[in-house]
Amino acid sequence: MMVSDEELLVASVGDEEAFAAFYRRHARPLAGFFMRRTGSAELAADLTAETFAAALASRRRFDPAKGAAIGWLYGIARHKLARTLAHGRVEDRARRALGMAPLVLDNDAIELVVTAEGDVVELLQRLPADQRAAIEARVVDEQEYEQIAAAAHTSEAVIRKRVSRGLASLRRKLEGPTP
Amino acid sequence: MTDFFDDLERELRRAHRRDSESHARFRVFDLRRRLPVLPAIGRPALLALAVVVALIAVVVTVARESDVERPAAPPGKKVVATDVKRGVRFSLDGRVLTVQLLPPVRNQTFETVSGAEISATCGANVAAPPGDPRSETTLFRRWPAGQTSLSYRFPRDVSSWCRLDRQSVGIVAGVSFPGAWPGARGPIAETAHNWARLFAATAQACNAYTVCKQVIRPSKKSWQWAAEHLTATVQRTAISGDRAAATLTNGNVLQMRRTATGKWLIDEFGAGGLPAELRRKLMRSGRLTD
Repeated sequence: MMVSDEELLVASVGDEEAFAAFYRRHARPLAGFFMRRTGSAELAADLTAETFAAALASRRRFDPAKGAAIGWLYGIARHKLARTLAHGRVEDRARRALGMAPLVLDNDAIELVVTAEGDVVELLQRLPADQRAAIEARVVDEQEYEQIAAAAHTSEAVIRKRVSRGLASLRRKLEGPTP
Repeated sequence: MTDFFDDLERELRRAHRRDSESHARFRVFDLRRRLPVLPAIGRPALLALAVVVALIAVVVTVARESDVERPAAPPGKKVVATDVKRGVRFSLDGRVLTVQLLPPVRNQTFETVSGAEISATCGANVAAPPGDPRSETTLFRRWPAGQTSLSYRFPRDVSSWCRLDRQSVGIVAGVSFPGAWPGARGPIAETAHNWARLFAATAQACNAYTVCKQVIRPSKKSWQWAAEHLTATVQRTAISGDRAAATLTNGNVLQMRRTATGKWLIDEFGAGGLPAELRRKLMRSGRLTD
């Protein structure tokens, strides 16, 4: 059975492999998230590195009882993005605190980050239309459930269910086939 | 070929090893873990040691906070603004910012701040690049668990706007103080500023600061245009009756009209169709292109 994100994060406190596995699951979708938000591969790459550095630094504080690991990671990501938008530059506080070396961004690296956006879109495209629309509105555009429900002429409970099912399905797709 | 994702994974693995090693070293010196092997020292000596450690902690805390807590410059005008959605009131008295959760306290806001390290980032409307300390300052404080207010003492003028952040959550609440931009131009500049920030983050040109409200699926082109507003700030504003315009530092021009409630909303993007008087006023203070 596939290890969940939450189990990986908890194990990652003392296990380098667990954090690496968590990173490999989410690095490309996260870079794609930043690409969609910023339209810049350089910014997306920097934000991805800074978000994972911050996640690594604060993994001991992750509490699965308080919510899903993916929500925790994207919470950090949104915070980093908001600070970038407010300051006009990407912070490197977490990377500096961990003594991480700056990454070289050549054309190949930039291309990889740009294609990550397509990966996310492709994953979303594989979801049923109603779940895709609900996830885009809630997770990507951060609209309130009430607002999404009104636009879709349905109830908040239905939208919550679509988001929850869609995220579970995405998580399974990200984790790949069970060995 | 450089694989960005592989390179980043290698760096994160190295960082994990360094972090785990330094954490393990720290734990070796954890007094509670050392207690079983220190019986020879005796209880009075341990108590004395605990008192010394506590005193050092107090001195270090006071020294560290002294920069934040030192007597403020003479207090200036008191301004108050409220983030209604999050139920957070920001009161700025000179350079002392007091943040208060308004009753009825929103559960979500309270749970976000209580016991957590909450940063206050505030800024003044000065001509300085984004991130320059003259334009904004960030202070970190731990929000006392169970409390509904907290104060921050800033070392410089921060009379334009404030924002609370929590590292793992993001923006908790934020406000622009009234009068940040002088006179009637204030609300116009504020609308333009807020629209640019929201547009850069969502690529939705129609948002809360526009007359149009429809939500569109952003294309690659619209994301690229939005990205050009990442660091855009308001450069010039002009008013003529119920019409106004603002230019941004990236060259975009926003046209606005005043609604029945006195609120300024954007109804046109670009300088096309800009009334002659507004065009003249904007051109008086700089170059204007369509």
